Amino acid sequence: MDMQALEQQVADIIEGVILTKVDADTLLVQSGLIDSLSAVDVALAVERKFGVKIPPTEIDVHLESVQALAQFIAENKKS
Amino acid sequence: MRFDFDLYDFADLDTAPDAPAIQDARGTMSWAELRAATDAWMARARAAGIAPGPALVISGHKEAAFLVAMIGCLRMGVTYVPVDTINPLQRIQRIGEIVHAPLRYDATADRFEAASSDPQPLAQPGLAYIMFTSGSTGDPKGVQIGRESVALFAGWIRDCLHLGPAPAFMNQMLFSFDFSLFDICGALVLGGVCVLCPREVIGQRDEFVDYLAHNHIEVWASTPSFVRQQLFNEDFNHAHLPDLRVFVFGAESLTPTLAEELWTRFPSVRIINSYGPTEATCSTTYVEIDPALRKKAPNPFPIGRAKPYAEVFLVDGEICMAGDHVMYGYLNRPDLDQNVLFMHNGKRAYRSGDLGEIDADGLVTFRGRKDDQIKMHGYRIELAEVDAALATLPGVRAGATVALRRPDGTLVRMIGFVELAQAGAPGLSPLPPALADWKQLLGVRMPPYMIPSELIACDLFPTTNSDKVDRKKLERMYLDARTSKATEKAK
Repeated sequence: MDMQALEQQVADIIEGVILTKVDADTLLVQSGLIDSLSAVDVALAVERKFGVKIPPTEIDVHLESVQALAQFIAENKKS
Repeated sequence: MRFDFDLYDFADLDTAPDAPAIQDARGTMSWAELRAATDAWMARARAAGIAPGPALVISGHKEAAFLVAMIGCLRMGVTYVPVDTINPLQRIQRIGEIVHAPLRYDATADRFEAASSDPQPLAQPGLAYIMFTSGSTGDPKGVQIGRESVALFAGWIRDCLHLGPAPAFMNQMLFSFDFSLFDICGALVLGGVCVLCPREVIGQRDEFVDYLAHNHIEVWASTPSFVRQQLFNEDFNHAHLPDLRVFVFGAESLTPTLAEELWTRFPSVRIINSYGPTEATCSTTYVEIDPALRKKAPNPFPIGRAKPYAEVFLVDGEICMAGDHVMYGYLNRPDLDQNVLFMHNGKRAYRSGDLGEIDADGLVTFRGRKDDQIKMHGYRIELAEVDAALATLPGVRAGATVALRRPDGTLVRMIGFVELAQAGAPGLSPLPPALADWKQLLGVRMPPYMIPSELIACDLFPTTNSDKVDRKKLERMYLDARTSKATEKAK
């Protein structure tokens, strides 16, 4: 899958959780759009859809933006 | 040893005095040490001029000294006002002024400080504590709880929940949130141990479970939101927390999905759901999710039946409660009292503003709010208080706050809207540069959990027929502008 398509899928997951459209570089955690609870929902959805687990201590890093999260998924996805 | 809430003093002094009573990140305090520390604190408090009459504000965050001061106040008959330092100093000081407290005990620094510029005794005698909760007029309001109400609450934990001898309670909720009294009263009345979990410990997600395991946590009381945050951690399970036997929930709806997730990780754990506003001493109803209820799996689970000392009934669909656990009104706010307090069968009664249903078995189910009060991750917030704070921002004429919900009704986050003094483009627009630091400005007045996740300018707020801001319409305007479902529809 190309990076752009992956970013779109990630953006859709995030919109489903926080109910707003976000761009690839919108700051998510820092801006307060994603808080500790919606972070759980995003992480669980990512795990379900891509089979990629985000380590609990690295949430803030990988949920910084759609771009960062898509990058992390691409690097850790099996197959 | 244990603490007797009818005598308001330590009892069974010779029974296991060296057993732990309070555990914090720094160390353990035994029951004998807790009693000695309380004696010493009371001597210092008396020397500082503290006596029954006026209130004492206690500020801090999960220090053993905070608990020592609370117990000292209960023994001395001094009404205390617990405030967590998640609140900015301005709000802590404002609370000191509203209660006219001569002094504040700063548990972090372990010292007494001047509080109100106009110290006065309380009009209502016999109060255990006054707890401040979000107020729709823009100022927090003080809920006055009597000493006998706290004794009833402790008695319920001792007599009705079957928690076993001397259990270890996790204490994670802020002391300014009355549900935190569950762990404190539970540990004290049962001669157990209260394990304080400051936010630094909770924030270290991987170490938090280790901290709980190390302290052999047996009883977990929290909001469903808080336990859901732990699901991240694979180690949050029976193998890592073998002593954990009971979950007690409150302050938010409990869903079968969450309960089943917990049973997957802790197969034989007990789950108890409870409910009750601060105005009626922490909780009024409870129910254990037994196998029959689990099988039925109503979403959400019911909040339970009335405790032995409480009566619960509906008036026009609104949940009302009566008993000696109901508050003695809001501090100096007879105007608010007259809308919510009344007498029922000779007991004080409170209209909660919560809507509910009661089935044939007396089981009550929560069905939302009558007004604009929300629970954000368990924190009780009056949207009107946030509105009032938004209106103080520079160049802002009025503020309105919306609690954004998913189609299933679960709350996602708060969004603030401001009407600017200088009218901008029609509809919703980004903020002018003058409001770039709006979060910091609000942070001086309010705790972080009351600050909206976004702030958006609106040229003119939509209004309802009664000329109030139409929050539903604002929410629709936001969703139409910001979600792709709406964009697709437009195409």
